Amino acid sequence: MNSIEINNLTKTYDGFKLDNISFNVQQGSIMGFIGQNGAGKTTTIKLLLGLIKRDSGVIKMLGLDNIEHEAEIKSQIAAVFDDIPFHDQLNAAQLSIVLSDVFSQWDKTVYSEYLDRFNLPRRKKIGQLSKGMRMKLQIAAALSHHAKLLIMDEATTGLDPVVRNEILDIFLEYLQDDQNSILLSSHITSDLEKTADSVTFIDKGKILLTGVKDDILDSHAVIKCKKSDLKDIDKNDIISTRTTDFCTEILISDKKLCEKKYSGLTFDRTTFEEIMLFYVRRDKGEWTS
Amino acid sequence: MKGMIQKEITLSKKQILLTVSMFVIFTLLCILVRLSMECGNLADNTEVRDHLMDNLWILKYLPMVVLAFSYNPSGTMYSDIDSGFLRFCRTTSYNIKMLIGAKVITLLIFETGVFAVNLLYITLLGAVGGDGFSGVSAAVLFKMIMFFGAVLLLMLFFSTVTKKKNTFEAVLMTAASLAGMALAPFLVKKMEKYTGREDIDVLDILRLELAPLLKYTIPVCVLLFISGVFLSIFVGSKLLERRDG
Repeated sequence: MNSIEINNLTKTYDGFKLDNISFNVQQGSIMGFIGQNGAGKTTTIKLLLGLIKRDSGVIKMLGLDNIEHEAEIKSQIAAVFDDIPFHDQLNAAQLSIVLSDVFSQWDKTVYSEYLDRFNLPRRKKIGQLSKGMRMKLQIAAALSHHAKLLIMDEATTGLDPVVRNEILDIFLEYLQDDQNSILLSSHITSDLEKTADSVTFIDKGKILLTGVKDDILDSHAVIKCKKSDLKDIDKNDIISTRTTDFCTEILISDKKLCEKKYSGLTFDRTTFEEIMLFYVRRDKGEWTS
Repeated sequence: MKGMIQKEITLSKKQILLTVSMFVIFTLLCILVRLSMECGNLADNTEVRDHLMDNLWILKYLPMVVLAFSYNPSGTMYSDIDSGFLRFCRTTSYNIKMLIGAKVITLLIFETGVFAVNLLYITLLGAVGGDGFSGVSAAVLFKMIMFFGAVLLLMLFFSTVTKKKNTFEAVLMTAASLAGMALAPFLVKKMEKYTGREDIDVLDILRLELAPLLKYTIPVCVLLFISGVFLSIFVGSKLLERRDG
């Protein structure tokens, strides 16, 4: 079963179009949603959460249409944003009382356990907490009403690696229950390589890649060669080419095929950061860094 | 609802402390003036005493004006919007009507408290001046409470409208403001007859002009209050729930 199903979703703004995108998030998995700033990640998430109107397309969450069954779906999901959506004047203890009004399944005990685990002060005002603490508090709140789906928009951006790791560990723990799923939008690709089961890559409002993380990483490769070797490679096999002072790097998307076709060349395993870089510059064909 | 009401009070804590402090200072001052009018320096100065007796309503009701604004729901509404809490609520199954409803209930609690405190105050002031308790004063207090409550509720509604700047309702609001401004020349014309008259002051003018309207104050204030509740809870929440374009 899929926790999220997006089919042919379109949304047009002045100067931006989310163009007929489709992808699924499988139940019990964590999907990384990557793309550069302005690629359409936040627009997609706003559409998922019903904050903006869609032009066309279908969104199903937990098997239900996200508009027709809005209240039912929203009682079972949690959204986490890049900044805490709570008042600076409140503290963690007061927040628990407020959120017990918001969520019918609010679990004070679970919340209290997360506060202890994250070493979050109960009486300190939210406005006085550090960025990392604010994010931890937001995640503690998101995980304390037994949500089945977490939707995170750039939630780990701006956090130091220690806090990021701590949060990523919590996500993995949350996924121990195979009913739970996470959609994690980020442009920090290293986090996704660590935790994600699948990845969707969006650029300029279009989905470029979507699928199982390891399949994507296994099918892509970087060929490092001399510039003179470039002419021997079929242009259809190339996503884009980076020229440095030392060599030429070519990203290809069908490693098996290319290994057969260009047996004399070396194929290096790639990362999502490289995949993003090469895909984003695919229109240029050849670029330097 | 308990949590949301607590949130409203926490967010308004500074304003509540400030207005309560001002109220205490004002009431003490007014009681001292009233005492002085009866048995202090002012009792000997007939001219000043008579003038103050004519305008005793200022002493009676001014502290209430201060306290009536101790809780401002539109202030916390803007805070909900700016902090992202409104957006957060929209990602949950929480009904926005409940969010605004909590503000209206908090306002009702506050205004009831303000009414009770001021009732005590005018009773005390009456005892100091030897006038005793007057039902008329209580009625005036009630009208004032309803009026200020309605103003605060309409401000709450306005805060929800301004959140959706491009909506039809915002255009209506602007049109209403312009219509209000268009009334200014008529008011100026109405006031012309008082120009150059030194025997009459602003308070007298207000009394003369408003006296014929006084019989309508209770129904008008109640109507304004009910409109404020309806607009803020039903229309305001619809505006806030509406998906952006």
